[in-house]
Amino acid sequence: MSDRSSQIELLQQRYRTSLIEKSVEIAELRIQYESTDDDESAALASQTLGDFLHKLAGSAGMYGYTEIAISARNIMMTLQNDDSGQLSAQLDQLIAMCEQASDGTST
Amino acid sequence: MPQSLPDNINQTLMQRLNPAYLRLDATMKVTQTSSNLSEYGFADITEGVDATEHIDFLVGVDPAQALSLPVVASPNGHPVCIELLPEQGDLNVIIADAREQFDLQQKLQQKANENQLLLEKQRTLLGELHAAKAELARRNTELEEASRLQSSFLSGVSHEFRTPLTSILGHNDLLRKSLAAETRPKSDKKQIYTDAVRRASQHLLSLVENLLDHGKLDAGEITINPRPVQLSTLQNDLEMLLRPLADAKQIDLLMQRQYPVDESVYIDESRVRQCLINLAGNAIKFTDKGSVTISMAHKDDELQLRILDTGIGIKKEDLAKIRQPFWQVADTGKAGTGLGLSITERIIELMGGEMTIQSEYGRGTEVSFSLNAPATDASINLDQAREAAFKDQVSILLTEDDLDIAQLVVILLEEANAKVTHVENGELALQALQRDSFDLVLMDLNMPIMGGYETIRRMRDDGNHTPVVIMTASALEADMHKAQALGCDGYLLKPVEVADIVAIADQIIVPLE
Repeated sequence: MSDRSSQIELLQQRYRTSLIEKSVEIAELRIQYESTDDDESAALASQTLGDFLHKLAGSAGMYGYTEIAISARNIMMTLQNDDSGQLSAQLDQLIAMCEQASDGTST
Repeated sequence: MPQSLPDNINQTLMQRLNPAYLRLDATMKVTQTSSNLSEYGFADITEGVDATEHIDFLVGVDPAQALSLPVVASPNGHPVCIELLPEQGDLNVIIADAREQFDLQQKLQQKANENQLLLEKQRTLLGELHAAKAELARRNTELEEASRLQSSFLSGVSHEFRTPLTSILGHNDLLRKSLAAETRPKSDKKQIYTDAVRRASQHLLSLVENLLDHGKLDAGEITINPRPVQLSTLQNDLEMLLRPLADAKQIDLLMQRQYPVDESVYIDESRVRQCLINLAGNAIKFTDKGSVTISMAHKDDELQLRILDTGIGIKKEDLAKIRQPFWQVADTGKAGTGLGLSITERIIELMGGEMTIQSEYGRGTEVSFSLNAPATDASINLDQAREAAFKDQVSILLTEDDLDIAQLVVILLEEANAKVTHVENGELALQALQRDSFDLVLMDLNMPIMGGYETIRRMRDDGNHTPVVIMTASALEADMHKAQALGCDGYLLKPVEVADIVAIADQIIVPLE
């Protein structure tokens, strides 16, 4: 196996492991988003959550976690449309997908 | 026809019909009789008697009209045919034996009656069949509805459980993180408590996931998506995951590998992993001393997987039952939904394999299955990169704040004959562009300190016209327009393929003379 192959394998392993941390971070950002009580902090929390999802959508896709990437993109759209009813269920699903992908039971 | 034939027919018919005869005058008095009349019970009929007084069927008959009476009873009870033939004012009465005809008629009638009965019976049976079919259809509908409701209930409940469980796990992790950051006395057991919460929550979550998978399998919602997987990576991951469980029970976890170290195959990694975790997890759960062995062999495009344990084994009478959903071996004291093995077997079947269980009670169990797994290249991404390589080496400035992406793209681009400089934000990109010249800038948009749009604007303001290709996860139309307005040379949506970068770079990089 070439050095680059080993490097890629290492990156893939590291990314998979990082998905559990990402799921925790999503949960944390979600709490911040849901607990805001004024427009200004709501907009900031939405922006922070959106930025995180944006990054996740990009990186998950690069590492082959297509479902996570699609889910993150969909939630970005939901955030933009301010559809809080749908957002909660979507975030639950994304958190679960990250956890499953991290422990290897799903992608 | 020879003359002898009609004569024979005539003779045969005369013998069979044995016709008796009497002739009556206009007053219905007998004027002539045949000798065999008594054979039909007409013994009292002699010349000169009034025939209507002795023969019932002649009462009220018009002697001038011909008449046929098919099958009537003669005085001695024989069935007879009567032909009345007027002739010159007299009436000839022919009485012929009709037993054959009568028997035939009787048989036909009996047949007709039987047919009628059969028809009635058939109608009744058909009616019952229709009713039974209708009842069956109704029960099937009820069963389908019940099954649908059950699946729906399980999915609903599982989902409802999963949401708060995920939240519990998430918050518990936050708590663990904050505890880890604190300096606490050794006697502080908060970390132990949070670990216990995490273990219990994860266990509950896995049970819920099993219920959800069970529902999905019933609904045919699970699909198999084979992708290239390196076997050693898969087995290493399994070892990493299962080792703590085996260590906790002080049993050996052995890994047998019969494949080249860099062997990659096409399988649905997540499903194979799920099956192996389930089976090996069971093996560890039911083994209190000795070892659990996970064996993986790849030969002739077939992946053979085997989990062998020295655990409590399975009784013969339980071997068939353990495959049934929700069934659990009694008196083991082990928790579970009784779904793991059933789900595993169904997923293995979905992947085209067949699960085999061999066990000796008290000695141990071996579970094995084989899958079609064509070999593939060990580093498919690198191969793709090599295939799509730049003809001449190009220098690329990669501006990307996400290290996960950046490190992967750097390796892939280097394999594609590029010299890559990586920076993490726009400000660093501007500095790099002042120091060195590049053939291409790959630019992320959403970065800290200085984002992609601002960086491109400043580049162009500074008179730097190095081609820029944006790489972003956002497909929003507004971004595209903005990128074009700023004079970007290309736009790639993540996940990007090296081939896409090479293709777009080939179009926009002007070779230096």
